[in-house]
Amino acid sequence: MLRNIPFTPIRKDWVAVFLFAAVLIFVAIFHGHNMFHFPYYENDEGVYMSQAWSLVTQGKLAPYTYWYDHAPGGWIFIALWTFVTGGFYTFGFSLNTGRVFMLVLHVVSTLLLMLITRRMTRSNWAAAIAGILFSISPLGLYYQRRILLDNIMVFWGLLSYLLILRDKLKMNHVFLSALCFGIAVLTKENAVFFIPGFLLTLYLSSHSYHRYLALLKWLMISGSVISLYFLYALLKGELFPTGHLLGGTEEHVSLLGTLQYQSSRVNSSLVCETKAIWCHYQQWKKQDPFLMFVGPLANLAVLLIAFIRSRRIYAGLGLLGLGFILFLMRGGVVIDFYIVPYIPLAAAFCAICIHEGFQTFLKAFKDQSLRTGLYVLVIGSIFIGYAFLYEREYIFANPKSTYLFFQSQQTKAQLEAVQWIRDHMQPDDIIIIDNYAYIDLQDTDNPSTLVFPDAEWYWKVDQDPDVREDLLAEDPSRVDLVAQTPQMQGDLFSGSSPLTSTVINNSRIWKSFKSDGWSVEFWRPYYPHHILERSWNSYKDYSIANGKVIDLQQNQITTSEGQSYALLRAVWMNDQETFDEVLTWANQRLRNEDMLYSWRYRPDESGQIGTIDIDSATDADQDIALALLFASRRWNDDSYRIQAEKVIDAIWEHEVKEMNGKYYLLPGPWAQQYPGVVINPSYLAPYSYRIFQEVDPNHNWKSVVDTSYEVLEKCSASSLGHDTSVFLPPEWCEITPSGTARQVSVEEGLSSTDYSYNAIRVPWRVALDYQWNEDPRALVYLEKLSFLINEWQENGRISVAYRHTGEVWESYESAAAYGATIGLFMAVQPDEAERIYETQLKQKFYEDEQHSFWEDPQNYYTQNWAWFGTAMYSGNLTNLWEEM
Amino acid sequence: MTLVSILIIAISFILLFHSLFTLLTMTYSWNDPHTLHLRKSPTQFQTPVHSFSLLVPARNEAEVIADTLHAMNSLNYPAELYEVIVLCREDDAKTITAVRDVIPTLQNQLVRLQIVSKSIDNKPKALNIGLKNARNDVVAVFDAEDEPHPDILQIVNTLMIDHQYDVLQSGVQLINYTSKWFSALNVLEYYFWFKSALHFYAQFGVVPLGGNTVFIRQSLLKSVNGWSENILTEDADLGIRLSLQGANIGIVYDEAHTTHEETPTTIAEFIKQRTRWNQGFLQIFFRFEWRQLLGVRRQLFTAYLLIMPLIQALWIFYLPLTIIAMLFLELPVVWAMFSLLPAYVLLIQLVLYNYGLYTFTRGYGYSYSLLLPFHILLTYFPYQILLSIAAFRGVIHLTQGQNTWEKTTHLNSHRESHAS
Repeated sequence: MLRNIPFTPIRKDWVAVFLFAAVLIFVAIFHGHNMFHFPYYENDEGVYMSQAWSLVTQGKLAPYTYWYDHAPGGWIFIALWTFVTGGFYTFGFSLNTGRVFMLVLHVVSTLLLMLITRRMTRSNWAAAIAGILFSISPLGLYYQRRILLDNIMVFWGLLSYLLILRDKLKMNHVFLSALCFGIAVLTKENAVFFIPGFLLTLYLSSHSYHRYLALLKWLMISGSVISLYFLYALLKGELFPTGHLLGGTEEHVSLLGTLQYQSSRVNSSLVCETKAIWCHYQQWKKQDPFLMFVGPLANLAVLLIAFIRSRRIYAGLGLLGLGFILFLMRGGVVIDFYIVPYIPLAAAFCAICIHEGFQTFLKAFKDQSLRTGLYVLVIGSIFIGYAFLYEREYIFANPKSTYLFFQSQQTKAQLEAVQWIRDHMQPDDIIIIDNYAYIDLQDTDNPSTLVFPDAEWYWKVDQDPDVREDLLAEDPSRVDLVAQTPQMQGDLFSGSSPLTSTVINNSRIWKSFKSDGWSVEFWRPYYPHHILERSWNSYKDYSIANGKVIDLQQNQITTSEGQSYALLRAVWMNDQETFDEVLTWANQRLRNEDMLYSWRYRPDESGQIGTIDIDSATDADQDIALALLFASRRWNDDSYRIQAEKVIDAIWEHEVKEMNGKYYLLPGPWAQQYPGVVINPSYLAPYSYRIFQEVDPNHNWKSVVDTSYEVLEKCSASSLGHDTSVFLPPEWCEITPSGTARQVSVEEGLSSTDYSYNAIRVPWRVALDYQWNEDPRALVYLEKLSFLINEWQENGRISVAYRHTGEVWESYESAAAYGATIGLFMAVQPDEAERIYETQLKQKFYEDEQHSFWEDPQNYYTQNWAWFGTAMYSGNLTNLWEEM
Repeated sequence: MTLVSILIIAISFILLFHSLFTLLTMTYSWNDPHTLHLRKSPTQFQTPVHSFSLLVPARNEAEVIADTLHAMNSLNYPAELYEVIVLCREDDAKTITAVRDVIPTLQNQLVRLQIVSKSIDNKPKALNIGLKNARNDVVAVFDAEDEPHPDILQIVNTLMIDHQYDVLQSGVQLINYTSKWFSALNVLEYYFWFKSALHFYAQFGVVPLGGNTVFIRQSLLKSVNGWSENILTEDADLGIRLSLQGANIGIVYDEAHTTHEETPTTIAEFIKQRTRWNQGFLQIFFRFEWRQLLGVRRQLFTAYLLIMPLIQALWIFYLPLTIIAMLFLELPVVWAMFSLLPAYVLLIQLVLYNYGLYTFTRGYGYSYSLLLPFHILLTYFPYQILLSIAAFRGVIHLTQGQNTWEKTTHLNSHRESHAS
């Protein structure tokens, strides 16, 4: 006998049935109302659900390498629940399925707690009070709604305890209790701290005839169940840590290693700093002053009553509570939700003390209805007291609000964030997430059918080699998006994932969602390849229409230069669709009979029919030819090469001039008329001519390479009619038949000797030749452009235009100029190149929800040259002719 | 999965079920202490009503028969209500002489010597002759080396009146747990069998009776034609056949009143005895009389009970196969874990054996040595191998049609042990 008072089984006690049913209905409504909206979806909830999902869909204990952070009992149980309820999306968002499970478990746990209290006290009212306190506590509600292993463990623990709390205990009950307790430990390991309380209870409730066998059997069965965890690790070769005698030398996860790690995590302070128990206690007490203050006192009182009033069986329950308090105070890491298993105990202790108080002080009142009335009064007081607690401004909301548990929409931001990812991200994007979103982004069966197989949980980015090494290759720049919650932010701050922190440090907030104190921020990485990709996509949307590249700042004209830049960028971006559109438009509208391209297309007012300026520009023709050759290699299609050969042939025919046995590149066929050679230095692309030489061996393209360097040297070094030269390439220049350089004087439009929008391209083209071919003349030339280097080093800026003498002509800065110049710095001053990239290209790259651009999205020239500069800096300008 | 893997899993499944079942039956007696009185001897006796014929088949028992008859002659029961019939074969001169020598020395002349012909070559045949000559309404069987408690007939009389039992099996207990290395475990098997397992079986109304200290209403026994003469475990067979008749079978085990016996003297004897029992059970199984039992549950239960020797034999394959699986087969972890579960239960049984030995020594007034757990630990697995060998041998004998009685030698060591 637990008590020397007759015990009526509940099935024969209609008062108990009615009272308990009323409590359970209240609990179900109280916990269930608004549970999908508050509190926010915690990362751990996602972890356990995703592990259940992994079990169901992949037959694995975790989607990532399982490292024995917890025994798997909890999520095996969740997985079974999803089988029963028809999958992960029966209640909408995947985590809601788990929350419904928690609700069911909580209702059952409340019933178990009431039955336990009833068996202890023989009082239905005391049992009801325990059930109500357990469920009405805001501290409890906050965690009980969440998918936490602790809640599942509480269920198994209470069931196990109830089984041994019988007047006529049988070994079958002991067996089942041990089984349940074993599962409780396999659900959450801290259940082991209940063992002393269980053993004492078992000792007290068992008959002397089988007492020792009962204790032995309980220990053996629960021990056997618990040992399965170790057996699993042993069979997987993951019991002993790497480096241990039995663990081998190969790197692997280890159960004992993890246990060692967990036990070595110690709070930094016992006073009140970060994770100390006292701090947590203060926090818990704020959320439920009554249960957290009175509960532990009642725990001690119950132990005293056990001895003073000979209620021996109370001692077992009291020891359960005491064991858990000692666990919390052990000095190791305490996490806020560690309090969860103590809440039902605290509720039971309070109920028992109220009951014993009534028993002691109301002996004189024989009238049962008076006692009932007092119990009703106590229950009423509990409701009123807690109503005040719920009414106050709650700390988890921003802005603070009342009745948060039943009104808040705190999960709204998280749901919107998932939807936003579905709407805006590509399936092959690498996204670092808080684990709450894992299943809904990863599961192929999710209702949206949009799957992001590379959406990865931030904890695993560094810890799991599959993610760190295989997916990311230890390269933070591979990440496309970080969806950061405040919880993730805190963890990153404490160093949970250095790689993710690196990504964040190289990212900007793109979009953020907030609701009732919780948020999701999308951090968009700005690594060069992201910039290249996103600016290209934006450029396509903004400046290219049906293959026509439009200069929005110049009356929507289209130039062969714009088409050529688009073709080069498309082939480097591996975007054949855009390449073909742009090429088709250029061929249809700009290509002349001689296979060269008209340099300009002007639309009429309706924008439908344009007029053509039939002259071709050599830079565009040669860039188109190079893009075609790259395309033939990249997409393995000879038709591009055939077309390229025709263009190259036409360039040689019309845009190359022989003078004194040397071949010079003219700016266009129109320049053939001049006696000397008119040069636009920014057109000279020696890297192209080397490739043309391979494709077109019948012509002496090598000579054009040589003359390119020759004229660059002469035009830059020459004073071109000025007092002096700071060795900057001019916009235009002429090489006379005698071989000297001079200012073009024939026509006003060609006489500019400034280093301006045309000439800024020279360093880029020379640097590209140096990168691809390492021609020493390229390096020598770049080194001589020291004026620009000095400008940067001395003034921290490079103006967009200079006179040939070095005088600043246009003082503003432009990303185009920096993009075109960065190659110079890469060759000569690499450290400065990095600074230029960070401060001038990366910083001047902007994004909103529609566009990604440098400085001004309408400035097509800037968009191209900042892009070419960024691509050059990040090593993305590969020689596709050689490498494919 | 390979064929070997499937085989391992199948064997593991069977052994897991078997070992859990064994665990359940081993601890059944401790399950509900509040029904303990139902399994113990009554403390107050009813007026003697039933009369008893105690059959004592004796063959080559010259050494022990005198003590047994002395004990039986002085039971605490009215002399006019019981008789002792010693059944000796005509060619067993030594035993006949020993019996003849002892009869004149007995105070009450309750003992009769019944000499049977040479053709009576096994125990059931001798018992059936005894049955023919039995005069009283309850027939009981005792072995020649048995030492029944003086109150045994009082107890049986009381229980048969109180519970209207048709059949009552009283506890038989091997006592000499320190004689041989395997004795302790052998003793414990009896201990758990009579103290616990038989009570579990009785729930189902199917009890494989023991070979002695079993009491059966003569009319009922005659209605089933006594003992089967060509079954090696005629006692168990009788139990099944009585169950078929719907007999009310009771079990009583009380440390104070059990019949004491001795363990086999050598490993060979032990294996022979076990081989006979295992073969006998299988013989009963293959007679398929159990299919006439009422209810599928009882039929399945009885069938399972009878093929236990076959399952026991699987242990001999289990250990090497599991080792092979661990070392050479890449079984999925879950299945590998599953295949180890029978070993888990075996370990739990090992602990329970220790507990059993502790309660056995306490119950019988022996001192409990702290070395005993180590003894059990060291002998447990070799003992399992002996059991498996005997089981395997039983199967072989059955398939070869070998049906000879390998009789066990008795040296009176249980009395020495008890005396010590």
